[in-house]
Amino acid sequence: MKQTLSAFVIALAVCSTCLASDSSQVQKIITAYHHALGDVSKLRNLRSWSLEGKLVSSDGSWKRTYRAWFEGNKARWELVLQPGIVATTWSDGTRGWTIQPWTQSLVPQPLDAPQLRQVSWFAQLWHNDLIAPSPRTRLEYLGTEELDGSDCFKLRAYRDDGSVATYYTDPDSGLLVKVEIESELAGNRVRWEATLGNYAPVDGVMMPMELATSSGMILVERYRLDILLDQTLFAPPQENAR
Amino acid sequence: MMQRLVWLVLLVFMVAVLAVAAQQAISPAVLGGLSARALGPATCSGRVTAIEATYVPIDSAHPNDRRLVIYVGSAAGGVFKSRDGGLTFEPIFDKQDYLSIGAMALDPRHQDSVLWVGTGESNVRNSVSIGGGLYRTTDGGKTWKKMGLDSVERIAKIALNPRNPDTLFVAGLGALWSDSPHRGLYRSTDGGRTFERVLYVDEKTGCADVAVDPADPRVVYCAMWQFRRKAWSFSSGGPGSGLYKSTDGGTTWQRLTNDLPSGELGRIVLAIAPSNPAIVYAMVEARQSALYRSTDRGQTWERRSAAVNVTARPFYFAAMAVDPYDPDRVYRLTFQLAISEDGGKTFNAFSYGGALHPDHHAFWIDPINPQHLLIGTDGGVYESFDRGRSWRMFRSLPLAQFYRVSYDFDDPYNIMGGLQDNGSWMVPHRVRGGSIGNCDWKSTGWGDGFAVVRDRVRPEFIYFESQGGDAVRRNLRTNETRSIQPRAEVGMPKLRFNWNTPIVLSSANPRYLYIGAQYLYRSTDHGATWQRLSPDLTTNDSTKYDPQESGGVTRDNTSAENHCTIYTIADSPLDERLIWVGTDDGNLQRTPDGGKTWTNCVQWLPRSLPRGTWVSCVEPSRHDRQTCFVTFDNHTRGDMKPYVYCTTDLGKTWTRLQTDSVRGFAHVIRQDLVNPNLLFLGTELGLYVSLDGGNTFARYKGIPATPVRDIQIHPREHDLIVATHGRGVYVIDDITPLRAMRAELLDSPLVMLPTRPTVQRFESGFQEFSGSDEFVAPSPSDDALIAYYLRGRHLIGPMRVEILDSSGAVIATLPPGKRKGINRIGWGMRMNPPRVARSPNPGGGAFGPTVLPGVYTVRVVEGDRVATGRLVILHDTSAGLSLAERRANFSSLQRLYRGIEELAFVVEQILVLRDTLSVRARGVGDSALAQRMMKLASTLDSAYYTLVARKTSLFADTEPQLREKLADLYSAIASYPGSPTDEQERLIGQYLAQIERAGRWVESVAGSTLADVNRQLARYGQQPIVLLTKEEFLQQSAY
Repeated sequence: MKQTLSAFVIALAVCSTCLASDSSQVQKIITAYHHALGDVSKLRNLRSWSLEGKLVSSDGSWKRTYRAWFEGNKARWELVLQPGIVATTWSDGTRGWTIQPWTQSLVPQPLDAPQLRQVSWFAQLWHNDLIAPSPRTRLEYLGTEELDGSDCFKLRAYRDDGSVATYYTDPDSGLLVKVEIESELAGNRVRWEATLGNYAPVDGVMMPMELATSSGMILVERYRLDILLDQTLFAPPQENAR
Repeated sequence: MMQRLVWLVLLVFMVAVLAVAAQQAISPAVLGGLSARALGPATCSGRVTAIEATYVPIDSAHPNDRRLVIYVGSAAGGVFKSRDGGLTFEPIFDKQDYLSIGAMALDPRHQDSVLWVGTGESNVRNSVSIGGGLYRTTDGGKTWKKMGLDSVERIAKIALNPRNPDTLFVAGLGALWSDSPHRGLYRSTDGGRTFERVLYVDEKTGCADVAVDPADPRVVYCAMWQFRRKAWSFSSGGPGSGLYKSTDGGTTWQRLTNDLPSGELGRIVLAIAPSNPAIVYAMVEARQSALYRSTDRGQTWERRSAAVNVTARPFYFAAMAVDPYDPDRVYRLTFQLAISEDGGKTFNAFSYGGALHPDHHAFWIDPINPQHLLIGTDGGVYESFDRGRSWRMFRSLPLAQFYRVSYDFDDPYNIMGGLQDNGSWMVPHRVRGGSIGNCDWKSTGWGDGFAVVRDRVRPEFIYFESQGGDAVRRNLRTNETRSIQPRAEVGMPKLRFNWNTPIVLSSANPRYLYIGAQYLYRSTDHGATWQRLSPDLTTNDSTKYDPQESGGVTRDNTSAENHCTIYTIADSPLDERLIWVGTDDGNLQRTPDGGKTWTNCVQWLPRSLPRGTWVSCVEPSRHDRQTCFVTFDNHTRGDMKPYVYCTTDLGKTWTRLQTDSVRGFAHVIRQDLVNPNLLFLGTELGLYVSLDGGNTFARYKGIPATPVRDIQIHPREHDLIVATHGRGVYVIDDITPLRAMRAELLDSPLVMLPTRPTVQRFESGFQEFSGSDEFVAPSPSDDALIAYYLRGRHLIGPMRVEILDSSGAVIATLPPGKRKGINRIGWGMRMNPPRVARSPNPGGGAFGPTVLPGVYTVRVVEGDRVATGRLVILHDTSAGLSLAERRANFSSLQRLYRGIEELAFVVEQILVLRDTLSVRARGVGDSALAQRMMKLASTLDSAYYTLVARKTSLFADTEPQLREKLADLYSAIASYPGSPTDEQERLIGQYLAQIERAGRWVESVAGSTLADVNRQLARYGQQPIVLLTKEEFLQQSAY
């Protein structure tokens, strides 16, 4: 009951930012999404999360251990290319770095603005416009659109930072199927998208055990929600102990 | 009570029946996982009907940092957008219902985001497509909203009030092939929310042009045009045509006649000089067509040039522009770009032929640099920086307009076909080791291209044609050509060949080549001579074949209006004597005896088919001699409905296929070569598929709603080849899964589907740095394809696809597709990569060996459901290598694979031992022991770097050690599928021996020095240090 009420309150908050004409539809979709997720408050109040799994190639010929940690805008992910060789990308929330061993260099390189934005979008995947909306975000219902053979509800969020996020939810289960985020930076289109699948309950919340992002397909083996994270994970290179 | 019960039972039964029927109806989602490859060509592109361009700031923080954004509207391929001045383009209109573009206009207030698009091309040639209304985007093309005018078949121009763009005018040209009450000039004053028609003449007269005075937007000009096309004629002009002016923003109109030609007028093209809007130009089609100029906003006119390059083909060339700064510089687009510097008195034309494709329809002048021009032609978009003296083509617009398509049996096979105004072309369906680029398309013929056929007996011969049946044979080895069009002998009637004449290779006897005039001809000597097989098979209605008189005010005879001709020919694949012929005037003829006798089967067609309807395709069944499918196309009489029929008794009775879900008039139907119930239907608005013999059709959405003019199925590769009249050729690779997708399976939650055997290829890529400005199409995937059907999207719970070898072991696990409908994924046919020795350097064996050809099992696991199927992998015989050589290669790779893993184990033993010794030494009180332990750690460290390279910087020598040498050898052997060389085999032996020695050394260290250390540790009550075991190593996660 508490959960449903909570979802309803959030949906109302969301709809205060919607266009009047489609606010009831937006509300319905978000309520269904929250209902499908389960304990949505867990995500809404999420301070940190991590995942472990494998990054796999689409043809199955390549599979590598993948780990990620997120806290607010802070993020870090590691891809074990080979034993002892780990590709790493991390951000302290305002700056970011990456180590790409395939360049034969282990020296951290700073992330540029588009990359930082993409890192932030990934980090905020569960702090999204449908779960924890900003009051300045405008949500619009765009009708249904076929996605992978099924009609999905399509919601678009216009954020105050100029980025636009599009959410596709499954009408049957209510779950989020895909999110696309886009913005313009110095004339270049910055995009990030994630397709979500293989949902399973994790600590009372339905979480996607498969995440196909721009970097590849992640098969999640384990999520951990609201854990205490070692801040050196996100520290700048000279302070980075790892 | 009993009666009510009976009714209830009946009701339940009916609901159940309806529910089952509903469940089994194919939907577009079923087909979605079978993607199509768009092959182009972009090298010749296609007809461009509208261009809009603007400089847009890259973002609000950099208002002076601008890029040229270009929108290109095409004849039937939708709208493309470039954000980089024409280097690259992306389609932005593909999800809309109509892709024929008549006009576009940018909102001057929001040039970065708001674009209006009117559908329905207004260059009303015989092959023009259709539109269905007005659209607007407010986000630069990401999303579109239909703004109405759905019944206006063609929109010729959109003109916005530059001061208040919420007021806009839309020139509704309307229907081409029939009367229409929806023509006229429309106006909106509320940004397109509502439209009112402000000028209407009659059902035969549409609005062909509109222009708003930029200085005084109350002044509006428009051109009304009476026109009509029939299958056998075109008429431009009539009493409805005229030039009109409004001085009150379009509310009232006055017809302008002062100084303009008297008599019936045709099409009028307008242009206002932006720098002096009192000057207006009008190209007026009349008995004496000419350019007229007014310097007083249309009150009086002066006749200017009447040169051919100004007045040519007004029905087709409807674009004119005035320089933004010079009111006397006028650009007129016809066959060529004609430029006047003296207010239209004289024109120079220096752009004809050569680098620039003729036939021009769209134009843009850079307002910042008027030397900079964009022009849209029948062959794409060109750009000039010297006011038209030299041009470069945009090479990434795949707008080709095919009429017919065919294939050959080369490997890779070639696809060939003819294009509207762009000759004939062929392309391999895949390029070994690479993608399909513009350079892979080869021209085989000229003119407007139609049928192109490769001779199967003498494959050096290819047949092509230009308009009106001008058939030519080309020898592909020598490039010599020979005209082979049949000619009428003295005393015979003139031969009538359709604009798009059928040239057909027999499907039953490859020696037979057919061509159709009003008679059917057959050649058995590669086109050198022809035998007439029939009498006149058409209606031979002399009132319908006199194109000399066609054109209306301006006579126009290009063979486009040739009528009473044969349009489609096909013999039965099961009987070469059984030939079906369809004509453009509605006859459906059949001979059972190679042409001795003919029967017009149209007499037996149901009344649902209007008599005289154009027969667009005959498709005799490959499964049953008595069965034939036929499509009819009645759009030339204003009827856009699809007519598709089937007979199973050689034409005596007919069944109309259920095409309720089909949009657009029908061009072609093909029956699958394997599954007789699988049909492919091409219409003016896309591709449709039926799984149940035509009871239901579903649109295939992998191809946009562009006209599908022809379809072929390659019998060897099982590919569906789709020729569109707007977006070139598409190939749906391997339709085997679709063949197995019977209608009764649609309700099953999970069904495994077969795929064609995969030929295992070892093709390497190339090194090319050709920039971003060319269209590139992918070759088909070399992966082994796996297909299955899901009734609904899989979203909750685990799902995976596994590959099992003949022993039942799982050798690969793939991320599955989870879409509703058919899913298709690829397996790279590789084993898991080997575990490699730890190293600061990447590499060392990053991929697994390619598995051997054979039969593998595929297992799809979705929750509790499991579906299994077979995957057949074949040896590539074209490489000239035997299977034994391939096996020898695999065997060597396996030895290396095991060696790499063994080295990884040995290295891990060394590193674990080294690190353990270092750590434990710190906790030992006995300094001598600690030193001994550290010394052993140091020895191990040195040993490690004899096995693994030390350096790690880019471009530096990495001092290859055993690990790197192994990787290099592994890579070299893996990249070639044949037997390794003797040298490679020797090296394998040497490297494996080194690994073995290294392993023995580690064992010896463990057996002597480490044992001694452990004895001393025991004295201190400490646990012994043990060597990593193979089991422990294997339990570690590889990566």
